[in-house]
Amino acid sequence: MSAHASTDVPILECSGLRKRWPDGRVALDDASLVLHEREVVAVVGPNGCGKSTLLAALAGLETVDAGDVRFRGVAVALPRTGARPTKSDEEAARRHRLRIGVVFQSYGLFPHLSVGANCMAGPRHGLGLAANEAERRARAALARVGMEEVFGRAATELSGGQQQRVAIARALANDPDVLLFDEPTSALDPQRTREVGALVRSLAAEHRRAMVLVAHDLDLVRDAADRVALMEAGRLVADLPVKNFFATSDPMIRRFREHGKTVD
Amino acid sequence: MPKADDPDALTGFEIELMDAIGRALDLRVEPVLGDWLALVDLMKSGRADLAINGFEVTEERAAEVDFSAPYYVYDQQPTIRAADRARFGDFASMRGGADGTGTFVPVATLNGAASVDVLLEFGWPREAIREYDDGLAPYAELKAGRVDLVVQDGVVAQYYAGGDPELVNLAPLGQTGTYAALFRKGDAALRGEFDRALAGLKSSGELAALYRRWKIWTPEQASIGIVERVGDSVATGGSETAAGADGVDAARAFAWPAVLWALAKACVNTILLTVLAMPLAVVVGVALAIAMRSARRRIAWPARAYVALVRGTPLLVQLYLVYYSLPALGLWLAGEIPSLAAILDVQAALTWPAFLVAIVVLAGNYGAYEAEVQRAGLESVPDGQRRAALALGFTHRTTLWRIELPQGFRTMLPATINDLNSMIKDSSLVSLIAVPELMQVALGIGKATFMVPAVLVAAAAYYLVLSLVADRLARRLAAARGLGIVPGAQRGALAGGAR
Repeated sequence: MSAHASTDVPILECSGLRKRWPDGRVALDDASLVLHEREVVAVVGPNGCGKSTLLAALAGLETVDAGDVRFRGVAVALPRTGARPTKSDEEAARRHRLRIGVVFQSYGLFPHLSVGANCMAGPRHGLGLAANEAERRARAALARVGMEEVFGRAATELSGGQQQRVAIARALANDPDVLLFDEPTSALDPQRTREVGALVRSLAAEHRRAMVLVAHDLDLVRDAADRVALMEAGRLVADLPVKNFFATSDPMIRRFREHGKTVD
Repeated sequence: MPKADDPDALTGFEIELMDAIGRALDLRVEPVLGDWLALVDLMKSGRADLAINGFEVTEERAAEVDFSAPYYVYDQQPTIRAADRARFGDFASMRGGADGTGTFVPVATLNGAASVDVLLEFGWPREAIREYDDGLAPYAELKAGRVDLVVQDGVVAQYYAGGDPELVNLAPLGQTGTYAALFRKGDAALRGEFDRALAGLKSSGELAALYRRWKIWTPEQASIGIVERVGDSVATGGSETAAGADGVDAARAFAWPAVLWALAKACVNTILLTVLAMPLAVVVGVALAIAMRSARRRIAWPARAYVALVRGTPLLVQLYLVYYSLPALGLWLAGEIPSLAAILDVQAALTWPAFLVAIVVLAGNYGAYEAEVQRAGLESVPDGQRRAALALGFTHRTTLWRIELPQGFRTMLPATINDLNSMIKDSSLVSLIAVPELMQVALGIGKATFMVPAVLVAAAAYYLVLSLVADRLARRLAAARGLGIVPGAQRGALAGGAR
């Protein structure tokens, strides 16, 4: 367990999140998760268990049927399925997103913009900063991930690993309170996986901001996370410190550790 | 009609007549060109104050417009191929022989002219009468052998067939009528002045001299009071050839360098039309595409209706309606609803210059096609791009303008360049509303010089060059601005099931 902030109020939490896809499949089923200041929580689980949907809901990017997301104890007015959000709800959701940085599995870089413009996009058009301040932030964020020399290059010219590092820099440039990683290495080959994994580990080791890490790579989870939450069929079924997660003889967790499945 | 060597200057005996009347009334005469059938609408809509173009005085027309005093007496003039002179000894042999039991030869004439009625009176079955939209086409058909006879007003026959060795004019049919200028109903003041000036020209001998110069003088003109000054006829007769060369023959003089230069100058208007209308069309298309995708029905439905309407009707019809019919419709509406006329000068609002109408209609038409192009572009942007932008704190609007539209535009750039290419060629349709672009100038020169096929081939070559150059330029400009085609779509995998 790492350094908690002095306050007991979690920085980000969700409770009772429910969501069904239009085809009737359950995405989230009473999902609840707590994230404290400067804490790194890994969310693991078999394919299709709802990890990515949970992350999107935490980021304010997904409509839900029921449940709450709270930031420092204050409920976020997240859009509900089927309801048209009001102007002020939209703005509240946008302000929430500004505090949350998201790194996507397939990077999601803007192909029509340069690396620099990708990293300036958040400060410029999200935070509304002046161009020179946005550029300063973008350069600092790129330097943090070791990519400052590609500022003027087209984003699409880079390798997958480089693109993911730029995507991390783009999220950092907004200086968010929370970073969410959605399988940041699963689209990469083993070499790039090691590069990006090292970057995620170093960001986690800083303990400057809280992180949620959705990952398949249990080595990365072991190195980076303080706590591991196991997800199964849209709900969180286990939540324990990382040491305990890798030591426990609980049959379901063992099954997942060894076979990537929670049931036979 | 435009002169061969200078398409901006007009020539013709009626232009000279109007100049003479203008001088007599101390008025400046500004010619407004229009399609023959549309001249009446032009005048009714207020784009022109009077129309003069060999309009035959008929009772049906007198219900719609006011006629001036007659300024010319015409007769119906049959024309045949010179080679057929032996075959058709006289006019009667072409209408079933003396007893009327033989066959009627196919005959060509001007669409909507009095000659149609004359032919029907002579017993021609309707299916043997071919009508064309301009005066030259019947003679081309006669030479091509598609018809054996042309019957048109003597003036037209003299102008188009008079100097042609392949054709021969037979004796006129003695079916005379008169030409008069047209005025808006009730515009008595202008009509009165016109008639006064015309009477002066008739009695002074000036009009007779003008007709001699254009080789259209006939003795019947005396029946409407046109006087030949005594002793003048020899003098005018002497100068006739020289003056004739200036008038009729100069219009027909054909020189490739002059024609190619005139066409090149006309290309400027074609380019200008496209350069102004295409960016407008893209703006209209983007606006419509955004509206069509709106969740709000009262925004989406009008946009969809507009796109369906415009894509579902021909550009030619739209041009004609907006240019010729909208002013007439507006005036009728203003007449029906006086309060509308009180708040809006309908006539001024609806009688935009032809060039402006051309740009608006081209942009409005291509805007509907661009709407579909840009909509497809917006739909091609992966959902992950929108999510990535929202995650950075973008508003939906900023996401649309900064992320979705630029990417959609790039993806559909080849389709937009294709539209640009099409517009260059479709701009030829605005020749209908007398915008002096490439096609209009080419047709004008072709008709004036009897060289339509050659001039059209030259015009086609210009269009080809313009289209090739436009493609090159557009692609180069796109590349220079980094508007390459978006490589492999990138899809954010976050909660991939959400749509």
